[in-house]
Amino acid sequence: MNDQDPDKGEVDDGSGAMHDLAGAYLLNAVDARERVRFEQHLTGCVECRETVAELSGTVAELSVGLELEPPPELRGRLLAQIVNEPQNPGAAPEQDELAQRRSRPVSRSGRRWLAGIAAAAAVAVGAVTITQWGQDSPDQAVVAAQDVLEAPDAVRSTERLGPSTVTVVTSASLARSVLVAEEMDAAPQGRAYQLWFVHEDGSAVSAGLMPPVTSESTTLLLEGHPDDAIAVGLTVEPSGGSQQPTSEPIVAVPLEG
Amino acid sequence: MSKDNGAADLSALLSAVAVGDQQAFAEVYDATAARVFGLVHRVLQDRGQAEEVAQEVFLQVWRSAGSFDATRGSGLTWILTLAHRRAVDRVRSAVSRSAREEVYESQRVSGPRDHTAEAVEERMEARRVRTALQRLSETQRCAVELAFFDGLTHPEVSDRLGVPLGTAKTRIRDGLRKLRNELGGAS
Repeated sequence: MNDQDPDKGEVDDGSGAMHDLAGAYLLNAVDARERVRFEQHLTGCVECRETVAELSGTVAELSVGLELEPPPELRGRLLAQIVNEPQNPGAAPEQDELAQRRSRPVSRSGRRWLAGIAAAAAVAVGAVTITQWGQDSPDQAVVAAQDVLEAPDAVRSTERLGPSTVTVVTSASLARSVLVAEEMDAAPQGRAYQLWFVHEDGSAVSAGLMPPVTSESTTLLLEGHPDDAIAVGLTVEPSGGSQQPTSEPIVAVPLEG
Repeated sequence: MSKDNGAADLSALLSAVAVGDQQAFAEVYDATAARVFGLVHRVLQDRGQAEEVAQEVFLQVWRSAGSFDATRGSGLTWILTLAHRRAVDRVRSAVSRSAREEVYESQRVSGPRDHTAEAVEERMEARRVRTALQRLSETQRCAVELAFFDGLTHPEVSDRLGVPLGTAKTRIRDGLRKLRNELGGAS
């Protein structure tokens, strides 16, 4: 397939040529021979093992946005095939631990919350507070969160996040949205929850920072206007907020219409 | 199209698959099939071959779930790594090259009206990855994309970009490192 020139650094001559192959290996940009050689190299090189461990998740992320439903017949075919398909031996997990995990349903959003965020997802309980945050533009009448919640054209959209519930209430006539978060744990030390109006193309415009969670229910008037946003996203950011999301959203609440 | 399967996380499911749990396997499939098929289809640009390779990938997941090590990375990463490898192996075979269709763009069903929470999250994440890729140098980005999406070997990348082999390799590695930094090390 390829003409391999031995002078082109294919050989591990101790000059670090093998280390340089780590990136190509991660992207499967190596031929069979190089792969074997590099995997051999891995058994003796901590640095490359760490590089591979560190970057394999990043490589997987390159496939985000390519999602495509497979032909429906594929599922049935696979389920039929595995019935008689032998498996390779591997360590079997503790049966009790498995049973515990499987008895606790977690939404996909909740999974990211649990897996991706450093803070423990404990439940916070307390009294209701209403918080208005952010500047209304000078040429607008001041809108309070309560106005939106009580607007006759108010539309609600809710997402669960483990034990928490996040609701976005939007009034088209007032052109504002309010977020109501229930049973949410405080953001990790030095971090804050930031809200975003998300658009069709995935771009995000900041809708403000959530004030520190101190009670069972937090209500927040979102900055800016819903306009043609398709959802409100919530990410964990540094405490001063960010220009753009710096991490995966922990929840996204789709907006009606 | 919401794929909120309400099941335990992928690592636990794979542990169950490892001991022959067929229901867990179905849940693994439901949680990851679109991502696997989408990736494989992008590399192969042929629905028929993508379907064959996707099938091989999931059979491999069934057979080798016991070797998945949750301490070394996420279940999704493990599955996508298997998928990418198989797709690239296939795309380099003579059979694949002659059979590839050119209708990739028209076959993509991007679902612009899918505003479920999950689809929105995917869209935000896709945007984040695209933005991060733009922050790489041109050579870094091209090298990573040619290798990952088109399945080129690093010598082929160096030929295509007109850079020395050593340069191609280090651009790939540095590009991935920079991408990781931009994305905040999410698994």
